[in-house]
Amino acid sequence: MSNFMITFRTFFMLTIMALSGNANAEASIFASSDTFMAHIKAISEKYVIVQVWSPFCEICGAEVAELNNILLTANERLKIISIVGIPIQGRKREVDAFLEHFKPNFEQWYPDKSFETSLVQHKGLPWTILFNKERTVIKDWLGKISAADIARELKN
Amino acid sequence: MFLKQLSRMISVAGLLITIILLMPTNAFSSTCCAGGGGQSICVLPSEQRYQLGISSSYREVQGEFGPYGEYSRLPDGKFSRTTTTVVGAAYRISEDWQAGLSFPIVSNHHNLPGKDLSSTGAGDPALEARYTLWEDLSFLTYRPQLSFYGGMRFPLGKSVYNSSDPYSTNVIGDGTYTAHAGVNTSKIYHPFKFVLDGTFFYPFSKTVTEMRGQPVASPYTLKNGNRFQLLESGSYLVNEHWSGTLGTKQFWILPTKMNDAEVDGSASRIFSTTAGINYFHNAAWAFALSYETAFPFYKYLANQANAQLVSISAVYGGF
Repeated sequence: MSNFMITFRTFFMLTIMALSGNANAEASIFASSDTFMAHIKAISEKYVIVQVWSPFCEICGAEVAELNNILLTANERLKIISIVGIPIQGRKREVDAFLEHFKPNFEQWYPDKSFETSLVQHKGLPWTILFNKERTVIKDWLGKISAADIARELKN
Repeated sequence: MFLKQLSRMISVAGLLITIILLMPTNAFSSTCCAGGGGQSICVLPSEQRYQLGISSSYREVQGEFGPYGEYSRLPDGKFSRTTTTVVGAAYRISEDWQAGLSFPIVSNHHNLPGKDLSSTGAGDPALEARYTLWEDLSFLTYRPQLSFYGGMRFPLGKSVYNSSDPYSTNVIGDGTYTAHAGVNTSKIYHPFKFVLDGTFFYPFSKTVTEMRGQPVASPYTLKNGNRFQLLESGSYLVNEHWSGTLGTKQFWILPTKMNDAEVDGSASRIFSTTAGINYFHNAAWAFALSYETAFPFYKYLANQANAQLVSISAVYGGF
């Protein structure tokens, strides 16, 4: 499939997604951080994708390129998606090295110690979470996802 | 398709694998090196806040290598066994610095003609500080993890100087303060991890005024030989729970000096091989089993016991 078709399909499915949403048990971890919830509620875009990553996670870096692609294609016509990265498990110098190397086109939100601890104790990385307009969790993925994964979810 | 599935499978356990690979597996297997001096059995991987560990090792001596490498087997019926249990802890002081403490309990069991001797006592505790300069980042292909450590071993256990036991069954330490400094570097090339560790030990001079609890006629200054240790190991990550480690160790002890004069035949050397398996139950619990032997380096041993050592370790880490 050509890049154009993938881009078109992703955009189409993300638009479809705007009409639906459901709750997810994973939301409780995020709900435990008032500051994080306040942060994503202040974001104007309809959907927020959160990537929890670590500079020690090999495939987190590979996922950044996919997320950059999602951000670019989904917002080509309408600004409906925002992506927030949450770095865990790394000193500032490792986090900076990761950002410099993989160059994510989205903002990074740095968790406080207690929120970071609850994220670290989750069972895998990268952990990608899709929030709807009400900022409840629609879907979460463990492991590297692609633009097609997001699109598939939105189609459902 | 297969590669994609494999990639997904690995990624699902990403965090656990990250922690597994950051764990210093060589630390597990070297918890009770023969005369290796004090090094903390607990080393924190990135972001771990504290760690508690216990390691128990069983060492059985089969013979002795003399100062020039000549070997003599223990006579039939005679044995010398040591069980060492080390309790350790490590605590993160800052992002870069951590401190570790280890405290050994040593149990000796010797069998001499007509005598069966055993003794248990507290050994020499060790304190250690560690500074991490670089963490291992997979996307920086040629940059390894690099950390520096240093510490001190305190001679609180019974030594030949204050032990009144004529058979030295309760002798656990060498009776001197020993400082150590080292460097540890490792690199992960999934699913392999390679480790190189070097340590220098500096035993401080001691004025010997008593021997076996009795005053000596002429007190003298004793300086045990400086020591160097090199560890090389490779680990293979079988899956998100299991890994195997194979390593070698070289340990040199320079000659002892008495009143600034070298003591002939006091230098020693031991080379050994270590094989171990590690089980990582989850992000908090890890277990290790290791076996150390002088095989196949017998011809390099001098002034050391030919011993086999089996260690089992458990570590609990918190974030």
